[in-house]
Amino acid sequence: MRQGWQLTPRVWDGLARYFIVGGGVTLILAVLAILLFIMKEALPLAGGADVSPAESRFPGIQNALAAGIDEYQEIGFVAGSEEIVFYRLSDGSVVDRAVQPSLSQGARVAVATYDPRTRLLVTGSTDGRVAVTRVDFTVRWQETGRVIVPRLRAHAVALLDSLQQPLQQVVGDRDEDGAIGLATVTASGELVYAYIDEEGDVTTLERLESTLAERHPTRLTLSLAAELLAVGTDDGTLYFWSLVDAESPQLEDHVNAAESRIGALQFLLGDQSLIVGSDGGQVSVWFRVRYVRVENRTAESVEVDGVEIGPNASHVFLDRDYGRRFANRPAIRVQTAGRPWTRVRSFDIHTNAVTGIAVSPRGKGFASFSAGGRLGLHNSTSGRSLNILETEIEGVQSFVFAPRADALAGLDADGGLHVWHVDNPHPETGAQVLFGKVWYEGYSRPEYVWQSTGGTEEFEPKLSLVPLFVGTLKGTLYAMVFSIPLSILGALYLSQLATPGLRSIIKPTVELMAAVPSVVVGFLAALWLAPLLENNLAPILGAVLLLPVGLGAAIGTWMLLPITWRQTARPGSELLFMLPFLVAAILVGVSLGRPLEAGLFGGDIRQWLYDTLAIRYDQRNSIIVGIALGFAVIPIIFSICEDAMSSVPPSLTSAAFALGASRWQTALHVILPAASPGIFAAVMLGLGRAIGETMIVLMATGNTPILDLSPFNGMRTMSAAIAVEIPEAPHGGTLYRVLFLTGTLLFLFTFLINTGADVVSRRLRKRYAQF
Amino acid sequence: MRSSSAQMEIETPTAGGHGSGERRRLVAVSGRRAPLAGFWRQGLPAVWSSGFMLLCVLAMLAGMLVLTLVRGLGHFWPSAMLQIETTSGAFLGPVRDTDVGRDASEAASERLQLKIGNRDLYGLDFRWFDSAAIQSRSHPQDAVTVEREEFGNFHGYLREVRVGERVVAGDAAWQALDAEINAARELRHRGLELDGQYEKTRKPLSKLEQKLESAQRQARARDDEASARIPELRGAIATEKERLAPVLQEIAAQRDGLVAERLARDALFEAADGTTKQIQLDEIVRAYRPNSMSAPAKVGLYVARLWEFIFHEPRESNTEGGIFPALFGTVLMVLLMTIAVVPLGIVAALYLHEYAREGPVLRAVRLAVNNLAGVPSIVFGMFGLAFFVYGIGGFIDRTFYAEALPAPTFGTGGILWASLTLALLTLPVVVVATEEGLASVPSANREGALALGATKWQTLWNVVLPQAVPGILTGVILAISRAAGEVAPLMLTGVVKLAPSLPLDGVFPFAHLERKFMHLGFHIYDVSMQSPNVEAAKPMVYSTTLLLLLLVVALNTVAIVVRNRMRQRYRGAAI
Repeated sequence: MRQGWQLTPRVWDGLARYFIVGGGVTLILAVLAILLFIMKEALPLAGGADVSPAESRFPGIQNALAAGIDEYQEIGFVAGSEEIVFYRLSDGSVVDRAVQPSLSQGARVAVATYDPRTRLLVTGSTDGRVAVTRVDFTVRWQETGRVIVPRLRAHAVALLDSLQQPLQQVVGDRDEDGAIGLATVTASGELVYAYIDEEGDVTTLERLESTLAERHPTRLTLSLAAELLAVGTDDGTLYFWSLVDAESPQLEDHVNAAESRIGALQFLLGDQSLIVGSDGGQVSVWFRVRYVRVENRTAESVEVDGVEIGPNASHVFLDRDYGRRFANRPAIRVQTAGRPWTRVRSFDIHTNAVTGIAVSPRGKGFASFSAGGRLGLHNSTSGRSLNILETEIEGVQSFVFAPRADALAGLDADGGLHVWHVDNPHPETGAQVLFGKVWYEGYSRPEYVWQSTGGTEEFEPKLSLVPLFVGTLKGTLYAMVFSIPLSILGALYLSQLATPGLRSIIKPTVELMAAVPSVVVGFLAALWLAPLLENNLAPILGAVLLLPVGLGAAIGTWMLLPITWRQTARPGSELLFMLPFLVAAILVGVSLGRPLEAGLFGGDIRQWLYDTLAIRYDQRNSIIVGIALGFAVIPIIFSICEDAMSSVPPSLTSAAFALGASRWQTALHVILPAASPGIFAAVMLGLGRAIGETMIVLMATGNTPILDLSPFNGMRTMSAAIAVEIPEAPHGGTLYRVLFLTGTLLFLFTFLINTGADVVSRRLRKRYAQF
Repeated sequence: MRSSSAQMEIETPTAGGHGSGERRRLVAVSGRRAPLAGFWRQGLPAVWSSGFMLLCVLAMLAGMLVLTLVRGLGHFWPSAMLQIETTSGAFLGPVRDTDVGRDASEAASERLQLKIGNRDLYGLDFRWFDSAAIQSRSHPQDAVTVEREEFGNFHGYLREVRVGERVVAGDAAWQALDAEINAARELRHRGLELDGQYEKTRKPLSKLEQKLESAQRQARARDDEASARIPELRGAIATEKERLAPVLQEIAAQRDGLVAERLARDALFEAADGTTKQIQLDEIVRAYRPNSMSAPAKVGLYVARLWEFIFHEPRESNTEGGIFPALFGTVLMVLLMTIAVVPLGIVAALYLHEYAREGPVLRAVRLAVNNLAGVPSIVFGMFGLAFFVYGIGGFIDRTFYAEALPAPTFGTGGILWASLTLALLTLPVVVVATEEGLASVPSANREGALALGATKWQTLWNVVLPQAVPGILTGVILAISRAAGEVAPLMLTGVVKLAPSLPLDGVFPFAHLERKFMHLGFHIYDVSMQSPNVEAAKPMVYSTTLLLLLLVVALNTVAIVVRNRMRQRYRGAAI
């Protein structure tokens, strides 16, 4: 035999050692890496936005007025007074030139605006005409790859100034049917509105400036499809005309928005918020906030948030959900009193006049540019300025986003085109958004809201984690309130007060309970228990209230029994003895429920709750969740508690009995303290399970993310939000990352709770280890 | 010394510094001579209350089991059909539920819920009726329940059976119905076989067409070689078409004949309110008259429906038929998980128990493993999604399936990723149980082996591991039971409500682990929460719940028994 054969067992042993140690260590490291990996997915949320100038500045043309770039950032254009020039952004070469369309002989373009969302270029000429042209970039696939071909498409021309003087300002938009709304400021400072119908005829031509008094319009902006016209003036006043009825503009509101001349004005995506930039360097966000008139038609006076409203009087409030709060009292009427434009937040990064505002075509972001060359990138929802860049350009006359919001284009005073790359993956988050109150569009005050997705692109995601925290805590709280007494006292009874025979049956049974899949519990809670409780609230309430009475009756009867009988009874026989009393109590309670409901609560306890206390009873509410989640948690607490109580050394209990202590005295004064580390650990582990449980809360709650601790309505927990929303969240998007942040927090919560349980119970165990 | 300290503790149970107060209280309690002294001393209300708490826990468990058993098993029993005449017409169906509601005048009155069926006629399957509004009740002997492929059950009376020109009416129709249903379903089956044959015959042609399609796709991405292949492929397709045409035409003609023959068989039913309804016989799963069935016939039907439930495909968006794909998916997923988790768990446990040295590192690692057991399952799901699906799956797609992108192959949820995720989730269970098993092996055995000159690995492999098998087995069973009931992580890693094909089939490579799958637990969630007709779906969900519960309870019972045996042996060895 060769020597190698004799070495084999040792080689084998060494190999096994390396394999097992290596495998074990890697595995454990890998397991720990889970936390890091989940964190890593959430980490990009913390990264900021980046704005960097593209390499070259493109040669300008004389009298440049407006500029834009295409979706792929390949081609940019500059609209001058006579022609439109298209550049290749990579090398600055001219791709195409076109004469400004629809110009009459001898006239030039005096003013132009370009909106990248609609791709409409609106030009005002020196002879008082307005032209609407669409700048299309068509993508073709050729052998050399993608080719982008710019095309111009003239939509309409209209004479807006009968004096044929150069126009000062012009805006316009075209709706789906081809009707166009236009607004312009003429050479003499008149504000003129025009409506061109689908056939191309000017049907309305109206001067609006009569209401402006002495003020001069400096900036105009139109909402999409020209439904709202906002006008900024030289003293900082904003005017709003509603163009919903396109043929007769209505002055809707005016408000003093800034101390100085308004130099830039844009509607944010969705047209609910208006960004105002002034010569004083202020940038502010405005939207309409609802006020309500609360009208008291009852005979006595009513107090509403500290304000006394007498009979038949009324008072105007900032809306705080009064409509819902008084929905149960028809005599108190809540009506919209008005929706004035209100300053919601401002961005104070500029010291010089704001000359340009570019609105992101994706989300609620925008960029501002002020004289002196400061460029700011902002997000309206989060109220953050994501990046501030000092450029060498004195000011911009045209400032727009690229269609994918990944670049900015600006025209300097000499007509040069500047492009900045924007890398802004998660603009709508931030600590303030995730954990603080945010004033969202359409809300009357800052609030904690979770509403991550909406129907349209223009939806403002509301990503406050606070409602999810509250929901998680609420569900956990109700579950613990339900399960702790049941499981600890039950375990105490089983381990100390019942016969050992009972224990060997019940212990495995309760352990089986731990194996019941949570989806089963959730299903039964949602589709069996919830409707049962909803339809039989009073009988069930009656039964629950009568159960202690039944228990009392059982004890009383027991006491009346001859003492010899009682002494011969084995511990644990109480259970059988009390059973008929409890059943009787339940039956009586159930049968008393309906008559009591009719007598005390006017026949319907849920209606009564709503009418008198304005509490809405949801079918899937916290009571259901408490019971269902309790069902899942009880076996954990019960089993660990029971183990801890059973492992208290018999010497202790024997000593207590020898001193004449009763069963209960021993249990309370000896067992409970000695088993307290185990009980503590059990409760903590149960808590950890309740916090992370998903299916039960997903099914048994209504999944509404509300901030309300009422037991009669539901909640949305962190785990349920993850389960519901992650399959819909695009990989790498903001929602995806926010949900991973939620998961990380969930992980950390349970990690802390479990570690805390471990450490504390170890310490307590040491203290009691002396016995 | 020991006993005296124990005595001290009894008197100072809070183990703090307020012993004297407690002592006074104890003395006061025992010193009182009131007649009820025993009552308070024995703490009767407290003892009974804690007993009551235990009863509550047991009642919850028992209630849940009884509820699922009754509802889950009752669903298959052919229940008697009640015909009622009301002011709003006549209805026929089994009574589903009764309760006390409020009628129009707010007075309490009894109501009953009928499963009226006939969704295509009435729009809804279940309806509540006030007892007061019911004018007459009867149990007609000839009331028929027709289980259909679509629109749920039909409840009514058989009027005639038509086979081509031959029309059978009256009682003879009922005699003929079963045979004709079988014939129609046989025809349908043969039609499906012909479809298969057609596909098989056409396969060379389909392959060529696929090639053409992929060449066209490549040509779009400017692949000159592929563009050159296109005309050649077109020519091959034309010749192949010509060659196969006569065979295909013949199969198609046969199939059309079968379809005509099948469609010629239908039956005319009349609902309780007199509406008639023509039903194609091949659309009927089965028809029976519950009111005139004998007990053995009912049992037979019960077994048939139970069989259908377990071994057939679902119908009507999972609310009827069987749950076989879900059962299959669950079992396969759990098997894959077991294959992944067992070696990992054993290696980790061997390391922790046999190789690692006691110290702060080992304590930290143990804490981490214990903690892992407490991490919410949804977090594992997120990890699975980010790491397996998007990470590894995305990598596989970019490397091996680049031509199929952007449609993902492995970069989307699938049974493989779901099983691996659950393997991680159940790892602590296996590790802890295996460690317990290793600890139960007496150190004498180990030392004996080592003393005989065995290496550590030989000792482990030949002495320790065989004795630790029950522990490992317990861990595996508990892991399986946990995995079988877990749903939340699957929702992120590959479970679907309706999978078009099983992850195992006869098409190469037979195991399609990238496929999405169905799962019992998710089936419960989906059908009960997201089906449009929850009321009609409930019986199915109860049955599925029962099946899942039985599975999990059986697994756990086995685990508990194995563990108890092991502990007994351990106790014996320790002495």
